[in-house]
Amino acid sequence: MGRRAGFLLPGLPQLLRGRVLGGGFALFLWLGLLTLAVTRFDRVRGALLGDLDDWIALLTLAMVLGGVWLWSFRAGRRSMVTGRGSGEGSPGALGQGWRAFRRNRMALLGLGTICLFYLAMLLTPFLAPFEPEFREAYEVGGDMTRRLAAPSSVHLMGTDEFSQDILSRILYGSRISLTIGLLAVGISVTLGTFLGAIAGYWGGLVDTAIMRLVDMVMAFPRLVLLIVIVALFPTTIFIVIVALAFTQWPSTARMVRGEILALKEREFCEAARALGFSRGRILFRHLLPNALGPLIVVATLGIGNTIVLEAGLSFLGLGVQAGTPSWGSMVSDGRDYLMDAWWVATFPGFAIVLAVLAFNLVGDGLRDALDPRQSEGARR
Amino acid sequence: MLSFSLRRTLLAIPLLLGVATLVFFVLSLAPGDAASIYLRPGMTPETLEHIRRSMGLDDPLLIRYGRWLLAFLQGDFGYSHFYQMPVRDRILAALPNTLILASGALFFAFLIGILVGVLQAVKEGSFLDSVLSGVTLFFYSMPSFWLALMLILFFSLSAMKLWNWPFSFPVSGIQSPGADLLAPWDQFRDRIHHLVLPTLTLTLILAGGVARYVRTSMLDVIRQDYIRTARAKGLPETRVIMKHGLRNGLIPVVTLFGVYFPFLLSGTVLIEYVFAWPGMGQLMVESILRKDLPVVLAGTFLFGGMVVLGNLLADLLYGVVDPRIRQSDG
Amino acid sequence: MSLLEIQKLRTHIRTAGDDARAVDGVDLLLEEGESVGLVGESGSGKTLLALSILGLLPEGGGAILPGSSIRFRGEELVGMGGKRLREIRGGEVAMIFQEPMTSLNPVFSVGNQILEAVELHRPLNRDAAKEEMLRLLGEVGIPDPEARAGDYPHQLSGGMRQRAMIAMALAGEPSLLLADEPTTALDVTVEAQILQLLKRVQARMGMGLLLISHDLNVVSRVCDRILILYGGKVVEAGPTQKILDAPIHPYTRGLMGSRLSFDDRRRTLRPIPGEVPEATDWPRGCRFHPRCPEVMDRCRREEPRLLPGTERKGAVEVQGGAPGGGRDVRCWLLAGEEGGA
Ligand SMILES: Nc1ncnc2c1ncn2[C@@H]1O[C@H](COP(=O)(O)OP(=O)(O)OP(=O)(O)O)[C@@H](O)[C@H]1O
Ligand SMILES: [Mg+2]
Repeated sequence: MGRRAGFLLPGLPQLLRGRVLGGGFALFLWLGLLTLAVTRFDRVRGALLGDLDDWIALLTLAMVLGGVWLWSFRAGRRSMVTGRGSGEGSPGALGQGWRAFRRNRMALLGLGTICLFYLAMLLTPFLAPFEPEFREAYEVGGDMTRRLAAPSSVHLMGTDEFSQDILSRILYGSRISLTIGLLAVGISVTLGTFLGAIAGYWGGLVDTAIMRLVDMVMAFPRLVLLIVIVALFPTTIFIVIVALAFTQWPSTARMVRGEILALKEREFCEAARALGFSRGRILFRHLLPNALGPLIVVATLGIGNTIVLEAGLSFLGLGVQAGTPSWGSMVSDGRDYLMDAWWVATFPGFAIVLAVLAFNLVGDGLRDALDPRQSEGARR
Repeated sequence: MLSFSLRRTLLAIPLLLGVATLVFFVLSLAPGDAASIYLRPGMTPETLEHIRRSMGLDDPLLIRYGRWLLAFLQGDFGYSHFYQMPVRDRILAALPNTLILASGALFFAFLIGILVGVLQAVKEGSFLDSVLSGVTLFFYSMPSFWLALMLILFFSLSAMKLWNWPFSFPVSGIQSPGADLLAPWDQFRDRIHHLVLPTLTLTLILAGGVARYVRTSMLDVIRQDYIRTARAKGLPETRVIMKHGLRNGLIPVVTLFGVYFPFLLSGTVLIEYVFAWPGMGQLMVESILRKDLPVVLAGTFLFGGMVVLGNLLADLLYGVVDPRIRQSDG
Repeated sequence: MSLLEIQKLRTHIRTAGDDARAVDGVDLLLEEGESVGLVGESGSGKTLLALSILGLLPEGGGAILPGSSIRFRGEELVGMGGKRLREIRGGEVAMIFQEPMTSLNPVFSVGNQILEAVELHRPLNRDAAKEEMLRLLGEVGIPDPEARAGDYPHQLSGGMRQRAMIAMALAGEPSLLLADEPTTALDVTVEAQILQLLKRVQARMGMGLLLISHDLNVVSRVCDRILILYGGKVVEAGPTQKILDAPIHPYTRGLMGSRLSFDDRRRTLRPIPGEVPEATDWPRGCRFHPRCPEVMDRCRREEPRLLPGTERKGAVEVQGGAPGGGRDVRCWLLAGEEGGA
């Protein structure tokens, strides 16, 4: 029964078994994407002849549709055999953390939102009702132009001063905000972990040098430092990412160094040294994995932070240039029309808040699950 | 403890000089320089060259650095060609504006944040707690410039136009044009009016973070044995929380205060930008973009100094609120 | 009218699964000036019983079930709140806690904390209250009270902190003192001093004392009567000497076996095998039966009642004494109770 249901409708077996959250999400995703593929069939078919973005969207659509179906089908069958749901993973620290995380409704909501954001980003060519630069004045119901049009069924979030559809621009703009957040934090966490671990483990002169550098970078308000860097170079997306990463890594380095210093004193480290393991091996195989929990938390909260910073740069007109819509610059565009067209500035801002909120929810949930020392009180 | 803090502070001076030096070289290497502000249409290259020479910009980099360093160490921050006035005067003109805005916002942010955080901790797990958690996280996640625009939308433009609210607040600058001619009392009122929206924006942004921090800290404290002792003594619940709980719950909040403290001078770039608030944040951004090196360097030194001062202040405050640290040595 | 009269006290704790039945039907009587000992292993519900008296149960967790009654001089404490309860707390009934290290507020000086209690419960002006605070510090044997009053808890040793806690408890001139394992965290010499101190102030002020400990030895040095607690229930109760001379319940005998006293140092220590089960799932029948060396079939099926008795069924070591003699035992080994329930 469950098997057949999974074959027909993904998420249904999970729903039938009372796993409302997972099943509902799968069902919602699958039906939503299917509707998208059917209603915008022309666009999807046209994508076959389109550019790289189109192909990415096409691939995403196919993979998510297939993936959700397969997951639901397999999970349904597995639970038929074992009589229990999936997730019976290894009981490692991260596995335990995941189990604690799964019980946190708000964090799951955040995770779902993040998934939807990135999915929307990848599927933008199919989702967006208009091209981001579509400005042609055209006739709808007698209006000669759609400049600063209020939200309507045609333009769900209205249009801006150049008659461009805000919803479409938000979708296209998500590429800048979401990609930059992810990449910048990826770079900064890698760099920060590496330098922090070296400083903490080797100590001495290396430690002093690295930590002085950390102090120097942290002696600035981050936005001012960003502006200094960005002012020096032509603002390409590459420069913005590097600048964001460069101003972020010191806090990660400080945290990792603290963790390593604390772990170094513990027995398992002594034991590993007594066994004659090399320093590098002890550091990377034994110490760093133990610092993984806090690191994941810092990274997740850092992504939200970085998205806000990038938006701030764009708002000041210092972000990625060359006509690419980004959420921050869209808010800036709407600033002058606040009185006549509130929607121009409001909706892109909502997108920022929602994305950052989602990352912060997940970050909070991860901290509670992975890093009990810092979590809010001991759970009884 | 105190000697440790002082040593750390003294060590920070060369650090700050290092930072300023770094900024000096980095900005000097960038294309374009301060002379370009004198550039006029139809100006011959010779004239420009002449201007550059008179500004000392065509000397070798190291000579310029030496000159700057020497003057800087003597307390001379140099001359801003863009603003046509000594850097010291320019900064002193911007500082009070930032100070007023940030001190008010910091005060209210900590006041509101602490109250909300304590309330949440006391009512942990309740509906009120969930709602307040959502609200604080919402403000914590919000870009300040967007919040500023939304507040303008609600409390200024819409308030006037749509809803006929009897009040609305000005959205740019520190005073209305011609306010100098008003009577002192009206002038004061006008200034306060201009302060409302920027302060509210900054307060809301900061208060979210403070509340989240205080909640965590108070939750930890409320479970401690000495809280039970205070109750067993027969103290009323408000005194248990506000005296025995809060005094302990605020200890970690001192760190947060040290982190926010530099705002007093550095201001917040985005909020000053949105409200056309002529403060330090605005000044710095403008100077960076105009390559007005002397202002940038002085500002850099000042900002870094505030960070160091914030740390020192946090250390000292720790000693005040936590006897265990006060008496650990010296 | 007794000083403290507890009837059918049941204190349960709500958990994610089943409720923890931590205190499950305890009766206790304490007369004016009497000292009663409450003994049981870790997890037997001692602390929760004491907290129940003052309504200090952990927030959102513990609840006293309906049908329970705790009367202090005839006044019902269960369900009491507000001003009257606060007058009683720290005033007529004071409490000392298990952990002297964490039970004092680290950011206030000990003098300040004691003064707070004095000002709360005594009609004294500021100066007189201060003097009283110094007197209390002297009374509990803290040398140089003037200097120590300004000290913060972290500057005092464990023994000194517990003395300060006692001074704080005495501030309201209580007629009942609840002492929850006041010496567990201290070393043996300090323990003896603190016990002596308790005994002295109790006699001087004519207080009732409920002394809680996991150590039968400690309690027997101070108390007139002893209650043995296991699994949230009283398993044996009686005058100290009788219990020490002739323990009836196998659990009491186990506790005696595992106690290390100065008098019989040579006796080997025989701890009771096993551990106290979780309060969420007590075993069926007698709660002690999985660990009992003399377990019978009946113990696994039916729960014995607490009944007066002096003899063990088929016991060799029959002791004299008046029938009843204030002894109550909850065990199927009790003679003269064939029918049971
Ligand atoms: N907050 C709580 N949540 C859940 N269970 C609790 C809680 N507090 C106590 N318990 C349970 O109640 C039972 C009795 O606890 P109590 O603290 O009264 O024991 P105790 O006899 O004082 O032990 P100890 O000698 O360790 O102080 C134990 O089984 C304990 O697990
Ligand atoms: Mg206890």
